[in-house]
Amino acid sequence: MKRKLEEDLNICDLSDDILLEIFDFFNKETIENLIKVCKRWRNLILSSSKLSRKPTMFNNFAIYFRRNISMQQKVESLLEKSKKFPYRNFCFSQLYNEDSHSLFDDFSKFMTESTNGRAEKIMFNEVPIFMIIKGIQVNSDSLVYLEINIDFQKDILPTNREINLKNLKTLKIFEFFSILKIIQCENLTDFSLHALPRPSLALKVLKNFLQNCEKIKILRLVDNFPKLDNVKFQIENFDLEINRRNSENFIENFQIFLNSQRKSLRNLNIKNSIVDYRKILNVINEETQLEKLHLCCYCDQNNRNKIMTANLTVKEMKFDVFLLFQGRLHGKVDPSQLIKTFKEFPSVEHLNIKGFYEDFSKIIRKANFSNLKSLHINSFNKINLHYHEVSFKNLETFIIDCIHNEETARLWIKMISFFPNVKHLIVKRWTYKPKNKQKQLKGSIIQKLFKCGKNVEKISIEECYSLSFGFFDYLKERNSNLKLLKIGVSKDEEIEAVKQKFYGSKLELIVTNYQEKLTSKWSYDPEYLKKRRI
Amino acid sequence: MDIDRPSDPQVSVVSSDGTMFHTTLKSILLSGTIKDMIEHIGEGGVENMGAIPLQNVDSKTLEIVIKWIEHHKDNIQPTSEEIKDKTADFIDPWDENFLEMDLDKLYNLITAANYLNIPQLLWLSTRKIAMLIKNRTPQEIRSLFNIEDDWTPQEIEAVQKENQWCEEK
Repeated sequence: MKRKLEEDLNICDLSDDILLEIFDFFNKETIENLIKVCKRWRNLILSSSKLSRKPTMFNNFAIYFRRNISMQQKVESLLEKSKKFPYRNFCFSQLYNEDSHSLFDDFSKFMTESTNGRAEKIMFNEVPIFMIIKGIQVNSDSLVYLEINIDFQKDILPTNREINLKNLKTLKIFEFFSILKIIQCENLTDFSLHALPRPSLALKVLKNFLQNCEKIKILRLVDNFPKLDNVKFQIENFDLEINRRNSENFIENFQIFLNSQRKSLRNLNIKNSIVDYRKILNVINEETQLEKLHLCCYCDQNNRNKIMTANLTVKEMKFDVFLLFQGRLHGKVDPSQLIKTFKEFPSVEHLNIKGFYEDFSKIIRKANFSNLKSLHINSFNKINLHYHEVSFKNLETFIIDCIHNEETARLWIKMISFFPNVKHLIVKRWTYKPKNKQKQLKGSIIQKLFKCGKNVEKISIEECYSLSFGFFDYLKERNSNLKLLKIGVSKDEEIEAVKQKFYGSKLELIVTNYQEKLTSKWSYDPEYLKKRRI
Repeated sequence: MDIDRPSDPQVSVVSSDGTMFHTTLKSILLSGTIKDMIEHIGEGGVENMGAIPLQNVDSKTLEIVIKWIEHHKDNIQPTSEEIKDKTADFIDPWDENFLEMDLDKLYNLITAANYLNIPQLLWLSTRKIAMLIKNRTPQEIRSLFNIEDDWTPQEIEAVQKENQWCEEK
């Protein structure tokens, strides 16, 4: 289309700098679209180092191989592509092949040429060790993030030369701890090691490696805990998972380490299925600087079926130490154990109960929930309680994972009647589809909901599979404190349907397509790439 | 208090087409460009310095800019670094309303905000354009902004191929 008026300004009259400012607002999908608008825009985008640094397609490069595809061919076409665009993030996946060793030269060449010394993030996933070493060597100056997911192997490391990764900030390793023998990362801030095979050997390697790191702030260890009595770093976050039987020295080593990190440590997260949590708590209780403590463990060593996990937040104020409790329970729970725990931590604020389908009326009846602010449960089968038996007077948020049948829907409403001041109701998934239209949740039961939940201001149904439950009709007519309704539906037509239902209502309505949200999520985050693996 | 020297003295600016506008020093200092100029004049020169000529801003646009700076004169202005960290989700309703204008005016406003170095105004106005572009197809973008389509179908096909995310399975 030609311009009608000569004096009219056109978007293309804006300078390159300003156009780039505008493009900077966009994510990868939109930028991809912009390239097709006109040649100037394309050239501008491709030549901008700022935009190509964005998590767009220009810097993500992922390779997956399947055994039946000719690798030679693939490698060539990929090299071609990698020359065109300055990729910086790489994900190499499943490069194993029966004859991968015979392709040693090709692979090495490929690794060198595709990454070409400018890779900032690399994730290796099931890749032969020699390729990993090659990739690290070539990019030793540029690497910021490195993740290696391979099983422990007997492969001997093909080099003894130490590689200095001086810019590496994040290192995540799954099982393959031998790599720690040959790399040096003086500026590492975030280190995770998942699963340690052959602990005795691994702990030695790990200890040596950690002693040369001075800047680690975030540390995640799994399965075993070495005696770390002479480290130079001061961490802020510490995640630890203990699952192995042979962790006898755990408490001792843990105490030594915790004492050395006393000044800096803020967040501590321990998942543990071996050690009695009270012992851990004893160690932690000496630790007063902690802001957040997340503790998941068995409550009783001798009773492994009765798993109990606790999760509490410690906050230090100037003069008092607050013990806030965030309980999280997995598996079958013995109610008496649960009650015991609640008594130990009287100021529960956030409670999250999972995998608990039994009647937990007993617990509720005996424990004191007057400080509880949010309650999250996945679902329930029965509640044998009366209003006067419970005290949830400060509960503000009530979250339930799933409402899958009429009974749960009714119980949900019954639960709400226990919470006089609840403001926010969240249902993660609403899958209840009434077979019979007559049986729809409507009329009296919804009326009851709003009689008891009269202070409810927000209702969120994150994933709603059934739109026909008469809920909306009622919501539309009623007059209450409800201000916001958030619904996630699976189809675009349903978005329109919901919007039409609420046409003209004062309620703030947010309807989204949750599936779209899932599929359109784009990220250069390797966590995301990992999920996309075959 | 010194009566002769009001805390926020009057300042005049002249647009490229010769129209004079009066505003206050506090407002005009939101413009990095003018701030630099005034600092150059030095202490005490403000009252006597006369009208500031702005050769790259026409009267229509200058009027809009002055409306904005006068509204925001008491707000703390973020630096361009701070603006970069901002999410594009929330803006002040007054600004939202203020930016309801023709594209033509908006382009002029962007150019002026850039020239006058008013980071917040530049951010707001470029964001406005970005919001218009968002969620549109290339064809829609072209017709909205009157951009000539200079791609041949063959070329666009080639570009599409080239830009496929390099993910091989």
